[in-house]
Amino acid sequence: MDLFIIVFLPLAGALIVGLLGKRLGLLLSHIISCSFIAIPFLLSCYLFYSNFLSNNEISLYLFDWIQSGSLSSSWTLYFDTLTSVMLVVVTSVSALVHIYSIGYMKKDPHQYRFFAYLSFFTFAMLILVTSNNFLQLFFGWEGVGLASYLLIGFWYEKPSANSAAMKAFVVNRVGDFGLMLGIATLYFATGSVNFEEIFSLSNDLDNTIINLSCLLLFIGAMGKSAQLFLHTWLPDAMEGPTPVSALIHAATMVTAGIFLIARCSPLFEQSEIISSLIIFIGSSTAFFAASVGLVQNDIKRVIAYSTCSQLGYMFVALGVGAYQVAIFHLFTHAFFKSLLFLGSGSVIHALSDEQDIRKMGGLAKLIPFTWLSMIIGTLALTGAPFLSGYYSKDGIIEAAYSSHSSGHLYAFYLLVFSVFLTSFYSWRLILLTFHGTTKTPNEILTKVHESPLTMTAPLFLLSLGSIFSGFFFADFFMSVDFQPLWTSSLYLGSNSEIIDSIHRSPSWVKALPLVMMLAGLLMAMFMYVFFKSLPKSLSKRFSFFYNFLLNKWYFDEIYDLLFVKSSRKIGNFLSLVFDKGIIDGIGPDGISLRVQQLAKYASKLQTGFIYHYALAMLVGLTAFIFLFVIFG
Amino acid sequence: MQEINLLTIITFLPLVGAFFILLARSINKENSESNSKYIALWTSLTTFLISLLLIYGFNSSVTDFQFYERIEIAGGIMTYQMGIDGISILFVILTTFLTPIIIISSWDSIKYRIEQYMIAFLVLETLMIGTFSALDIILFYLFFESVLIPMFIIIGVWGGEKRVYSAFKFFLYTLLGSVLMLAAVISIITITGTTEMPIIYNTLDLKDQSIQYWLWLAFFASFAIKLPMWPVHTWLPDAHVEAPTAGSVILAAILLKMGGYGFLRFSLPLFPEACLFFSDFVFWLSIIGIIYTSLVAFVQDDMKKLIAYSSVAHMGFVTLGIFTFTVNGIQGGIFQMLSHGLVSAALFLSVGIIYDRMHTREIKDYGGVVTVMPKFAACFMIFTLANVGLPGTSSFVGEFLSIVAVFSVSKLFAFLAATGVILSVVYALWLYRNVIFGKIVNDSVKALKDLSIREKLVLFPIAFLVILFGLYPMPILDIISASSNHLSEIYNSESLSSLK
Repeated sequence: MDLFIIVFLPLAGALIVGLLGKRLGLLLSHIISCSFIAIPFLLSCYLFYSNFLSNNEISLYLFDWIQSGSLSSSWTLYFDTLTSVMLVVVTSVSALVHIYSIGYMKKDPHQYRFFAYLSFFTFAMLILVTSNNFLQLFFGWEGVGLASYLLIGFWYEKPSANSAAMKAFVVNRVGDFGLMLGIATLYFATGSVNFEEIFSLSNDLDNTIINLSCLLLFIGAMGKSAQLFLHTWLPDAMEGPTPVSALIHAATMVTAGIFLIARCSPLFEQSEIISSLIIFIGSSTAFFAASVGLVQNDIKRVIAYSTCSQLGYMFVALGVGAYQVAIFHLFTHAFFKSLLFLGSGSVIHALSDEQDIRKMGGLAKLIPFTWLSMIIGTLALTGAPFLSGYYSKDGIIEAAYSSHSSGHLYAFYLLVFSVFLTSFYSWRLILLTFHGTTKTPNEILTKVHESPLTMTAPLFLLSLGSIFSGFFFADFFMSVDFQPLWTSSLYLGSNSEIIDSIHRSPSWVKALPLVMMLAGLLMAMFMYVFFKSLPKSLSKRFSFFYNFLLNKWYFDEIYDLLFVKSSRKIGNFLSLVFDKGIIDGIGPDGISLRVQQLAKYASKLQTGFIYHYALAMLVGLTAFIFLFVIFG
Repeated sequence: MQEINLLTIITFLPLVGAFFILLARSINKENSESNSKYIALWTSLTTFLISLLLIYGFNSSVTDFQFYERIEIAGGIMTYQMGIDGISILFVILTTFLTPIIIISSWDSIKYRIEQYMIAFLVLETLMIGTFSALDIILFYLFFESVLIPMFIIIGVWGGEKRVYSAFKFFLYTLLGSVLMLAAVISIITITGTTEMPIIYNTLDLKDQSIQYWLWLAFFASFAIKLPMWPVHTWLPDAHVEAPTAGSVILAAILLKMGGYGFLRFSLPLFPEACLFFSDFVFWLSIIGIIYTSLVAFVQDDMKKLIAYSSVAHMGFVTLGIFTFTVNGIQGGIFQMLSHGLVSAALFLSVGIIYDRMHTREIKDYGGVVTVMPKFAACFMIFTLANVGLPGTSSFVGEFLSIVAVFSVSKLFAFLAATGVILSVVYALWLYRNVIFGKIVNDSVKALKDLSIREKLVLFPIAFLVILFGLYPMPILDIISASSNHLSEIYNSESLSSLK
């Protein structure tokens, strides 16, 4: 029953506010949407805690969905340790984002719609993490995609927001294409779409089926979690309101891919090839996104690339089989990344919607609370000791080092180097935004103010999460003692081998990320505090390299040429040349043309002179008789 | 139930209504126009309510024909024979459900020859229900082909500028198919010596496979044109564009389904060897159709044309599903047809609603409609999402079952078909974005009014059903399951399994 309330209260909130919001008034709508998320949050904490005390799985059957032949799926709410973590992440961040939005969206006339979408998103995400079968997961998967589409395009008068929304949906669909076929593969091989039944049969499946289905599921995960080649939508998604970026494009939806693969760990564990592919794609994404993040000037885009990069870290953890570590990083990342986003939202709010960090500077004194929370978020992200990111990120790096999967060293070095990049771009962001001389025009500067309580309170709570979530939960995720809690939901291998080896990795491996982080910090100080002319001269001197990064490795341009333009060209060709020209030309138009011509000839024959007709009849009759005599 | 000839009543009630319109006209000429609307509405509503009795009395666990009626006519040459099973019953309901809706939708938008218009649609309803419930092969042929006549008139009289060209194109295509089908029908009658479908099912045993192939092809020509399949689809966009809104709705929602129904009623049970032989051919045509028409839809400037092309793509999933001969596939195909009946109807109705206000179908004339018509925008969003097959809408169920079924036949086909899932998003959201979102650039958009009560009455029920059957498709799947199983069992017999 708790589970039922957790999942469906947000839906009720969405429907009430969406349909009746205007009649209820602003205050009541805010109370309803926020409390309908807050209650599920409290219940999730309760469930998490009781599961922590004694492992309890819940399976709550609601009703049948699709039953056809041997295909059988139902609407069922399922709960285990993996779900318990996801529930806490989703409901906590969602509740805080709801509260934050009261302040952030204060002047927007379409608030009702906004809150309805946010609550609907939460519902879809909860359905996703509580499903016990692939079809329900797919429903949640597409539901969060829909909510993301609606929220990115929330300001529908902005053409850029519309393009970004559509791009997000289309690119995600490429991933969904993979997921859908992956489900079809598994159904074909096992005759079921339920997790439990499929995983119990997974040992008997032949290799090609396992590899194929894992590949397809991974393509789905790549789309949702914005991994290299399918990442292009995430930076553009920043067109949406900032609370949306914090909730959907940092903490929850984009981690659905991680969740999917963790959930399917019994399958992925059997596919070495795909696991190596995941390691390769994950670490490459971590590096790629961090490199692009170095030179971006939009405050939200820097953080978006950072998200993309951190998701890459999580994928590496999945690829080397350290599933709990991936979930651990998902957990801590949710707090510090939504803190960073909401903090940047507070900056944008203070500066009357300015997002370009080149036009900021010196804000630390004006909005000290926002500054402090951004510093905490940055420290947590870059892996400062004893803050949350320190535990989870180092766990991933150590797992990459000590794994035996092929390509693990490639991942290890790339991830370590990305720590340096991460530290550099994060501190660059802080230094340009909050320190140095201000570049903000005076008329905006006079209006700069600290955000209202509805916005600062969530920042405060998330700061606490960013500081403490690593320290307190490291054992829960990574200690051998707590492994029994995870055995039912994740594949752990024999004797939790990978967890064991993390704890035994050499000390230089443990120290390396810290060194890289300090190097990044120093480098940023060097370039943006001491030698302020350096960035400009570097960008001029290495302009090719700079433009390559600034234009995000030219992915958008290449895709535009390859897919968007060419499909329009093909479409035009098929429409005008093939449909109108060839098919109609040979078919109906051609036939009617021939008939018309024939009719013209025929009408020429009708000269009106009797002797012409008489002649024709004579010729015809003769011919007929001849034919009759010969063939008759 | 057997004493009341329920099917006959449902089939011919609309025709009776049409006579009443004529009668009312001769009695009271002044109010004849509004009288005709009300007569049409009440007749179609009554028909719908009575047709619900079919579901009430239907036993979904048996595969026999139910509500069966048989009278010998024409001196024993043929019979008047009606009956429905799990395959046909829901098409009958779909027809009776949509007819009142389109009559409401044309309430104010048709300006001339209103009596004839209403009569045309009532006659059409009779013929469509007849098609889905006739069990005598000649009777079926008569219904099936007669549908052409009122449709031809509807496009030709109440259509747009190029209505004559489109009407003839439609006629020409369909005529070609019907001539071939007539030949096949006659030869079946000569082979079996009967016109009764239940007997033909049991006696037609074509040892000579070449005859099966020829007969299959003749039927195929007719059904493929109706459905339509690539490359005989080019009549559809033109017919849709020129037809009045209600004509497009009936065309997309029901007439196209007669092709798919034909496959299920004739091709699959009568010519199993030929079906297996030609199944790859059908798959290729379907897949080309899905990809080709999706790409073409993407570059259309005309809203109706875009939706028309997307219909062809969606019908591709129907043929894919049906020709896998699996339970999943056949159920998926039928479900997809029913769902598409709702979704395409709703899309054409939506376009009709803004066309009535703006008198243009060009996408570029719109933009920013959501600002002035938020309720309309919300409905149109639901139908757009259904058009892209989002889970939670009815389209997902059919498409997913079809893809799963195709996967069991060939992975390649499944991959190719699933690209349609990506492509549909591109054209559907592109349409939505350019019509609904953005800034208002056209001044006349500013003056638009949101949905009237009458329009809500048209769109809301469909939106409700699209979501209901998306979340809980079991009522439909239950009704069609026994008959689908029965059909696929033919293909599991030993002699045929070897051919697979």
